[in-house]
Amino acid sequence: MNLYEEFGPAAFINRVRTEGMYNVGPCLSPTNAFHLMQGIETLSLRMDRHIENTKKMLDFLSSHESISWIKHPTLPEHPDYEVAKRLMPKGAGSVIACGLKGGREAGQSFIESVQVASHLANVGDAKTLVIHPGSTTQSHLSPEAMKAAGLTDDMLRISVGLEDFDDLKSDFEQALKRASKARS
Amino acid sequence: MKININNEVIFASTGGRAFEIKGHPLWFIHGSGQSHLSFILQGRFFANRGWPVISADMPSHGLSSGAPLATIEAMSDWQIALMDELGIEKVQIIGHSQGGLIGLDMAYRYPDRVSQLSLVATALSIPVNSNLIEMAKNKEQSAIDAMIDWGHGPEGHNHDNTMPGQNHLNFGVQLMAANKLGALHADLKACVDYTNGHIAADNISCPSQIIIAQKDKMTPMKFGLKAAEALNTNNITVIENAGHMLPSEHPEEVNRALRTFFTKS
Repeated sequence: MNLYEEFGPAAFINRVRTEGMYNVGPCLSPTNAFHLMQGIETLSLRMDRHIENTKKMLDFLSSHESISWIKHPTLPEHPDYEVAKRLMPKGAGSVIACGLKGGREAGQSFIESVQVASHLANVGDAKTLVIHPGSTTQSHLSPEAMKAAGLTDDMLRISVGLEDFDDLKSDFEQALKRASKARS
Repeated sequence: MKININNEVIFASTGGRAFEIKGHPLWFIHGSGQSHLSFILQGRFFANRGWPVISADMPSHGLSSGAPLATIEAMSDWQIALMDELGIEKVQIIGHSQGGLIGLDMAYRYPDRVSQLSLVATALSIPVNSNLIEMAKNKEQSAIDAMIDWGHGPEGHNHDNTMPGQNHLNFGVQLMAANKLGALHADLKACVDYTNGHIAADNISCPSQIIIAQKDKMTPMKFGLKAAEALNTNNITVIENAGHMLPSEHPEEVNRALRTFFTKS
């Protein structure tokens, strides 16, 4: 069915209704609505903590000997640094990409070694999440496709959570240590 | 679907379902400056329940090309040409506003092509204020805004919509603005010039139905009742608090009324 022919100016809202509704159902359940509302009430507080922990994590990783490169829009070498400074002056989210010396083996060892952080594919959680796309979510891609997608074998993605940073730091320290053993 | 009529490509909605001739299809005819979109909620309702549905955009309207037609009679002839092209012998007509005049004329001049006639928010003649016609010619957008304002009842103005997320007034304005420039003016002039409604009504023998919007400012309720009298029908439905844009404003009530009237093969 051609939605524009069928609905004219209402094509988009009807696409949302038909496709969105099939995927997620026609309405939110009361429990989910309650969780969503309760979550939104503390969102600003959580964002402050996300940003604070992200800054600490960036400092920690930037100076760590096992990390070969690091990307986050608040770092001056990031291509979107100026835009992020203008549009997100309070912080540019809690997702960090970084390169781990030792490539794929080290990356795999790191995500298997973390204990406070969780190995999960989503982002933005209250828990710190880590993933090594090269050996998990993007492992099906050829080296050329990986390159085209801007991914490298040594890349880790970290979604920084709300934990006490000292706990996170010691967890990362021990996991990075294990990862460095994997490469040697 | 796209169809070639008189060397012009025109669009006819089939209610989102594949069209297959079964019995007498439901044949929706839109009003002045409208398109098949004014009958979305009727076409889809019936097509999804297995009825064959055609709701065509007349030339210069909606997704149809070609120059606008100048008279109600020319519009009737065009509808018959479309029926011929699709190989349809007889239809059950639902005409809204000006579409009602076309339906009347078709049932009068082509009695063997129309089996039933439902007139929605219409009258036997539709005199249009000369200022509105002038506005449609020189300041079309102002004419559209005015018609959409007058065309909706109090509930339509208050965004009471059976389709959550849709706004009657914005939808109506965009629907009308999507037609080609000049289409609205030609339609309004054709309405004014059509004076055969009474003769047609007196001579129509097929079963007919009248659906009236209680708060209609464009074809007021009393004219709908007169049409019912002339057609000698007591199949009258008055929809409370509704404005002229009945099919989109009060789709559920309109669909209920249509469903009791038409015959499914």
